[in-house]
Amino acid sequence: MRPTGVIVGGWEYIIAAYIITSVVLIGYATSLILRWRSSRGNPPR
Amino acid sequence: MSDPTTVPTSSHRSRKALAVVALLIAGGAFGFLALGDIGENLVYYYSPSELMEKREQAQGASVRLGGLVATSSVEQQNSAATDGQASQGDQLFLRFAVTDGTTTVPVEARAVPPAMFREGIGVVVEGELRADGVFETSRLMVKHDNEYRAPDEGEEKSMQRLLETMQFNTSDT
Amino acid sequence: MNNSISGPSKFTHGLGVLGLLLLLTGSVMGLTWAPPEQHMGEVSRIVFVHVPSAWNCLLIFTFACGFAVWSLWSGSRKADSYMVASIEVGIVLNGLLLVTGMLFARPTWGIWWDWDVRMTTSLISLIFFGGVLAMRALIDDPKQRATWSAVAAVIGYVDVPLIYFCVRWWRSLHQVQSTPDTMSPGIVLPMRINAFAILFLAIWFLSMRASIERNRLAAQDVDQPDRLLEGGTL
Repeated sequence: MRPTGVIVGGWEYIIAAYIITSVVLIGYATSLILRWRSSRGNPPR
Repeated sequence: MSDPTTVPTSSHRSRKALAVVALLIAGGAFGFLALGDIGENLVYYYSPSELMEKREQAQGASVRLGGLVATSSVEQQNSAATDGQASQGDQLFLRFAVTDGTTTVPVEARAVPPAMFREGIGVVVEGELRADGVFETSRLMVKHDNEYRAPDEGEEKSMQRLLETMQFNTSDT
Repeated sequence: MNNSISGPSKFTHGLGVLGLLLLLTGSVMGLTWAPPEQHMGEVSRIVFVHVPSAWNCLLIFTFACGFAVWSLWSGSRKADSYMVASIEVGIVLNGLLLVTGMLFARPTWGIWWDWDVRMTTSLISLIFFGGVLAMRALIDDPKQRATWSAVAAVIGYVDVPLIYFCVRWWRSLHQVQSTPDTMSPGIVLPMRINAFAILFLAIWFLSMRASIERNRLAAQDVDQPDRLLEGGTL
C-alpha cells in the first residue's frame, strides 16, 4: 500500500486552534477592561 | 527604597547613552548572526551527501538526516495504521530512501509516517546510521514546501523545485 | 489628578470593533469558503489563525523596540506605557502563534515540537519578553523601571528579526515564507482579512494597556506627590 500523502479530517486540531485563539483574545480583552476600570477607579484616599 | 536622584542612569544624558549602547549591542548581535558563519555550526539536518562524507563520525551518534523521499522507494511493512503516535516501540513500519539528487540513503523507520508522507516530499528523520549503511529512525518528520494550493491546482514539480524545499544550499560555504 | 484619566479614543474603540468583525468574517471564510489545501486537506485552515498571529506578534514586538528607544531618549511616560503594552500584547500573540503552530505541526509534520531554528527562536522571544515583564514587576521606582526594561527590550529584540529570517538563513523543519505566488487566492484572502483583524484588535489592546499603565502611574503620583517634584511629570 502506498501512502496517499493527503491528510483526511483532522478537524479536532482545527477546532482546537480556533477555540484557543478566540478564548485567548476574548480573555485578554476582558482582563484589559477589568484592569482599566480598576486603574481609573483608584479614588483619592 | 531606591532614590532616583542619586542614581546616574535617571539623568537624561546617560539614559540616551544607554539607548545608543543597547542599539549597538542589538545591531552588533544581529549583524554577527546575519553575516557570521554560525550556520555551519547550526546544521539542523545533514543532506544524504553530507552524511555519507561524515560517515565515520556519524555512525553510532544520533543525527538528523533530511532529504526527499526517493521515487518508488516506499515499502510499507505494516499498513495497520497511517497516522498514529510517532515512535511506537520496535515495530518496523516502513522502508524508503532519502535523496538529495546525488546521494540516496536507505531508511528504516520504526514510526508511523505522518499522513502527508509520500514520494517526493521532504522529510527529516532523526536516528542513527548503521554500519550496513541503513539509516534507522523512530522519529520521522515531514518538511513541506511553502505552497498552499487548492486541490485542482496541482501541478508536477520539477526535482529542482522539490529540492529547494530542503534548503541544502543554505549551509554550503 | 483624577481628571486626567487615560483611555482609548473613540476612533480606537471603533478600530477594535472593526477588528472583531473582520476576525469573525475572515475566520468564517477560512473555515468554510476557503479551499482545503491539496495535501494538508482541511487542516490547512489553521493557517488563518496561525500566520496572522505570527505576523502581528513580530510587528508588535517591533513597536515595543521602537517605544523602548523613544522611552530611553525622552524619558516620556507615554513611551514607557506603550512599551509595556506592546510587550504584553506581543506575548499574547507569541503564545497564540506557538500553540496554533503546534496544533498545525502535529497533523502535518507528525510532531508537536522540535528544536528547529524557527520554533526555538519563537520560544526564546516569549521567554525573554516574559522576563522583561517580570523584571518590571520587581522594580518599584517608575523611572528605573522604565529605563532598565527599555534597555532589556532593545537588546532582546534581536531575536525578533531572527524569527523572520532564520528559515531563510538556516535549515529548519519550518518552511520558508509563503508568498501570494505560492498560495491559492482563496487561501490568501481570508489570511489577509484575519491579519488586518488581529492588527486592529491589537491596536485597541495596546491603547487599553498603555492607558492602564498611565492611570496607575497617575494614581501613584497622587499617593506619593514627592515623586513629582523630583523630576518631570511626563
